[in-house]
Amino acid sequence: MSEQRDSAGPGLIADTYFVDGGLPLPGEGGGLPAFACIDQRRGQRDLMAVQVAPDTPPRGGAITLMTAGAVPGAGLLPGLAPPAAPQAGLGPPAGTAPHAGGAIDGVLHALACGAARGTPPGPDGRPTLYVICPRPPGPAIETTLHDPVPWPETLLLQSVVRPAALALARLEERGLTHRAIRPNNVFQAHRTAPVVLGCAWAAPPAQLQPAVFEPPYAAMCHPSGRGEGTIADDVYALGVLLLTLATGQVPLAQLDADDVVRRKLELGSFTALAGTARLSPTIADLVRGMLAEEPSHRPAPRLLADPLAARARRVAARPSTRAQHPLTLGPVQVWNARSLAFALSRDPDGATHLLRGLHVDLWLRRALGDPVLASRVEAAIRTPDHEAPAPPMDPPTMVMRAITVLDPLAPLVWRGLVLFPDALGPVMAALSGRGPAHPHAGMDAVVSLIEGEALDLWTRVRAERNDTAPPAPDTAEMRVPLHSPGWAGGTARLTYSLNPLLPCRSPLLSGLCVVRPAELLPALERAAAVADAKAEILIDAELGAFVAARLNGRVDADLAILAKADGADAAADPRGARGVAQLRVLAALQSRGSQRPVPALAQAAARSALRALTAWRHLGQRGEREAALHRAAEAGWLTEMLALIEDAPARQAAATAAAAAAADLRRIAAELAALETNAPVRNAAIRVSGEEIAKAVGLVVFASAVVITVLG
Amino acid sequence: MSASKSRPAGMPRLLGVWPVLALLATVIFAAPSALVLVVLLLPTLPARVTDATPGHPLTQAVLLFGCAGAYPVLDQLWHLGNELPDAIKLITDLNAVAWCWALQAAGWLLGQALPLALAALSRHEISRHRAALEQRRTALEAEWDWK
Repeated sequence: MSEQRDSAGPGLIADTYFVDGGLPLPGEGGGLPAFACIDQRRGQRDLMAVQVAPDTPPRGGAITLMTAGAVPGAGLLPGLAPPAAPQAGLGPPAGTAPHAGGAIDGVLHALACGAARGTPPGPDGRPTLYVICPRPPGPAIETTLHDPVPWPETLLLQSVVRPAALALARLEERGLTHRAIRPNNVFQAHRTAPVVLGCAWAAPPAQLQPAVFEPPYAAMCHPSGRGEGTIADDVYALGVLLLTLATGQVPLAQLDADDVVRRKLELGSFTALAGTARLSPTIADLVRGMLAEEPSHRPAPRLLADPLAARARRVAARPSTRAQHPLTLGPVQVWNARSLAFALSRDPDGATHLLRGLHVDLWLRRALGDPVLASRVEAAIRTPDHEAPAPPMDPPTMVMRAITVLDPLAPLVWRGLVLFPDALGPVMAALSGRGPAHPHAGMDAVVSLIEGEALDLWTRVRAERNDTAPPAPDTAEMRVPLHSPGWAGGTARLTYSLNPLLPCRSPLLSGLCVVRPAELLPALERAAAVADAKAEILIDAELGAFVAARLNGRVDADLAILAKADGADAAADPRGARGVAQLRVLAALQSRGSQRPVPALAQAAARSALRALTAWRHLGQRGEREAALHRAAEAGWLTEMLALIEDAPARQAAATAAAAAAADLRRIAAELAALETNAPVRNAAIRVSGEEIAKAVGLVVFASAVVITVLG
Repeated sequence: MSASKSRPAGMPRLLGVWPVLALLATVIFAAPSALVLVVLLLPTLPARVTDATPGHPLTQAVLLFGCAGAYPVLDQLWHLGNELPDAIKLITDLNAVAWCWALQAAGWLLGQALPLALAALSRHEISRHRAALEQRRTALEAEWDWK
């Protein structure tokens, strides 16, 4: 993905794109910093690099789809599996035209995504990712709003609605959404030229959208939690843009986000935004349809490409019932069920009090006159009789269920966190604070959401409206990395798993931007080259979580060993288990990644891995292994080092020989001890033997004397 | 058995029942031979007194050497008729007595020296074995890491 080599000269993203940090392009990044970019292979200069903000992963699924030219729908949603392409940078395969399969007319589509040495750092001073896309054809139409003159209807239809709708239709065909249609991210070459939708891939979906340009259900979410949404959400944003241009000003610009959402929910989006604005009948009809509260009532992009036909399609929607008197939650007064749901989401403690005190029930029945809804809310928050004597429902579940019944289109509300479940990844990245290993307190809500049944419950309760948002990720699948032991588990691992393009935040990387496993070893090599020569442990919790996520569980056991030994000194690991675990992780990265030698890193890793050679008790063999290990380390091949240490047949033979030698030693010790302890017995036996021999000699002498005497 | 029971504690038993009976029979029925034997085998007595080894192998060796020296004298006595004057004449022959006592001294020396020689031989063999074992142990300890 990224190119951060040590070679002279600036780095290239995807081996192709040079980011000219000296040439910023203000206003072209749709709210994000953008710089001029050159395709070094083809000399193409009409490109820009949009800077990705820290803690906000770019839209990996969409980028992968556009850069790989894959079939629509594939890899669209952030999932647990990282994108498959292991190349250096998300970009077109070498030798192919950069736009092949990825170009989308009317949209500044992504060409590549990555980091490179020499690119301007992010706001926190560290290198960051860039998304490469074509430069806009002209300024953002936001510039026209400085002079608040309404656009004529013909211009709106021909230059804005039609081209934007066609672009959305093309995105829809690929299974993509834009989610960044706003005045500073829609561009025009000149006043009558068709608009081009800007870059929407460098931040989570709709993260930078002002509340006014989003449907109220997306606007009420955590900025990173708005999710991919549906193309109907883009139609809504286009409708607000149309209204903005038709009136010459952004509606409700003076209100804060919550007030905008509340107003939309109370009055309906069209009434809230258009107010008393003077609109041509055609524009008014179009905007009314595009701002329909019910997503399915908004015209499809393909229909919108023919504005007159779209205008004719009017779907009757029942306005929400207004209560006879408001229900007060703190400083807020609510008048209908939808705004009640929003108010409950903003004040979970107050919501619990109101729900348990039956205030909501009474208000729904008496003030709103909707006993059916009141009964449904009551049924949703009451513990089923067959579960008696079960404990009362916990407040977060009760609030979540009540909100979902009150407004089936509402996002998931859990312990103050408001999001669409497919945006769990970006939300976790945003809550990561100083890095996924040092999470924000709000992460507790995410963890309880995954570990509990809330997510499944939310999906079940709003089963009839699950068409309005992409499906929620599988909680059972997410619990696996969450509960993995050591550094291979926890919120950090899950955050990296859910965000395939989230750079590693480990301080060990010396500020290098690393997104893929293939980039990690070169970065660690650079860090090792300048690090403390005595350092043995080269992996920290943040790196561990990153590696666990990117290698998809291949080194979880080794990361658990490293986590267990974290903070302990070398004396606590005389057999080098920690060093071998670290070497296994690094070797896995080398075999899976760039497969380039990393001598500085290998020599640093060898310091702790050497202790594992104590398994070879034969000093001669150990010496030979050590020499071979040093040679492999100097050559930079971690896989060879690991093979030397984990040579199972040799290890088994060495163990067998050591056992034989130990038995030999025991036998010698026993023999020496026996020589000492048996001395008295032996001496006595020798004495007796001597005397017996003397007796035998005497007998022989006597017999000889008798014989000689007898024979004469 | 009764003899051992009546013997005061600490006094070594010099002879068994059967040798005593045999000696008595010899004294009664062949007094000249008994006289010759007593004189010629006299050195066996101190050998027996000093021999505390179970089974008294040293005494037996001395006795057998003594018998080897005494038998030719007895044979000569029996050829002369086994009379007391002949016995006295024989036992006053210093050459015969000296030869017989010398043989018993040689038997005693052999009984003393042989165990010592064997012990020395054994010690040498054992120290050679121990040195070999220690050399092997040192080699193993140097070749392998037992920490």
